[in-house]
Amino acid sequence: MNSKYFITNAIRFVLLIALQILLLNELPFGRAYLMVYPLAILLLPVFTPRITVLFLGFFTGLTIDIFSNGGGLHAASLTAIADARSYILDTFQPRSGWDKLDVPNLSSQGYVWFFYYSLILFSIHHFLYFFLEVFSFANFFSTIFKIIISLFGSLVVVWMTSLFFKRSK
Amino acid sequence: MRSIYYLFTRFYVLIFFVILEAFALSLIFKSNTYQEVKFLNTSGNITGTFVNYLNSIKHFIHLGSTNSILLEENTRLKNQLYFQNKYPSDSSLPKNSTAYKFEYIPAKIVNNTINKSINYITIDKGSKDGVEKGLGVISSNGVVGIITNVSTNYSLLMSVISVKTLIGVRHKKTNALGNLRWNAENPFILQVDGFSKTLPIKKNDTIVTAGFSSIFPPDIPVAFVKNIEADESTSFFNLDVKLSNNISSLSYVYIVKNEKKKELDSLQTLIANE
Repeated sequence: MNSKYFITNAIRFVLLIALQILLLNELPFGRAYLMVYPLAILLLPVFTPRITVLFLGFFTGLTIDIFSNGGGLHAASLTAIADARSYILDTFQPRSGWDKLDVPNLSSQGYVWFFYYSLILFSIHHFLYFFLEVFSFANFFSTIFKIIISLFGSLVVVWMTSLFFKRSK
Repeated sequence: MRSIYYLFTRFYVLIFFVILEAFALSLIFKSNTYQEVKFLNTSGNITGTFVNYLNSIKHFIHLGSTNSILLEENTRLKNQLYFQNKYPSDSSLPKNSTAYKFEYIPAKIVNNTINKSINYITIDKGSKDGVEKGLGVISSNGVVGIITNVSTNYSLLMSVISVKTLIGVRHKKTNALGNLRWNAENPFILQVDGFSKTLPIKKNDTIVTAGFSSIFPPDIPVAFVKNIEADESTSFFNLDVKLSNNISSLSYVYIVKNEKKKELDSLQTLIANE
């Protein structure tokens, strides 16, 4: 069971990093910058050790940074949500608590749950990314606007891929 | 000792979080001043090769437009050559004057973004071709950016579409001087300030490089005036300008090497330090 989780997650990491570097970094979306790779961290099984999630977040961010000249921006924001994820999962746990094999994805947790889960974590990620990027509160509303349109674009891609890979029960 | 051990086992995730986050933030702060060496980038030899390979596909898609740009440039250069032969004393290319001696190194763009606040472009010429940090980069019809990192085979340049951009420019008709900046809003519209309100500036006027910095040759077209707005608190105009070249679709650029740059720079720092 463990090796199956390992392989699916490894493939998902590689695919999402490739999607980001090959496609999303290149597509001209005007002022929006879509980032979908945090999904790899979001969909790790619930009982992945926190320290593993943290290091995975850091090194995934670093990889994206190297290929998109981010200079640490992706690493910083992804490490932050890798840590925040465990608190969100604690807050959002089902009434009976988490089961040993639970995965926080759309198929097993439902539409509403996944909507809030992805919205919160992606918002934190995008806020950190764009504010660290401009590194000032000058042009505050222009940055906010950029965050909102990027967040919307990213989440649409996230939900579409989640629906596409949804397992029917 | 036991309590320290207990503290560590209890909070080790938090401790590692702080360490990793601090490391990532230090990378950002280090790369924030563009003079600093940025070591996470696509100009490294391994990542550069990888990105170069991926980019060959993109180049293929843009072949048509690249071809037409090159053709245009070719015609213009031929015309210049013709006029130069005809009037040998009247050279329109700022190549060899007493203050400047320019050399142009052609390079291919390997990686390019326009959707960040600070955009970087990777090109396929490095230190082995004589590229150095701080050189200017132009395209056939405008400025592109300034080199910030150099490896053996690749180099990274900060494109003009960056919040840190500050290029001395000149209004072509009146010779007035101003500064080119970007407010991070629209990647095709940049801002120019420093032009006095008394100047007769009109829409579609050409803005060219000032040529005082020894980075860019003088009189390279930069942008066209798109929107004129008088700043009420000062006596200057705030201009919105449209870049003369479309940076997102560029394929080939020229690195400008001024042979007298060192001499000029050392002289100018001497003045600045006094």
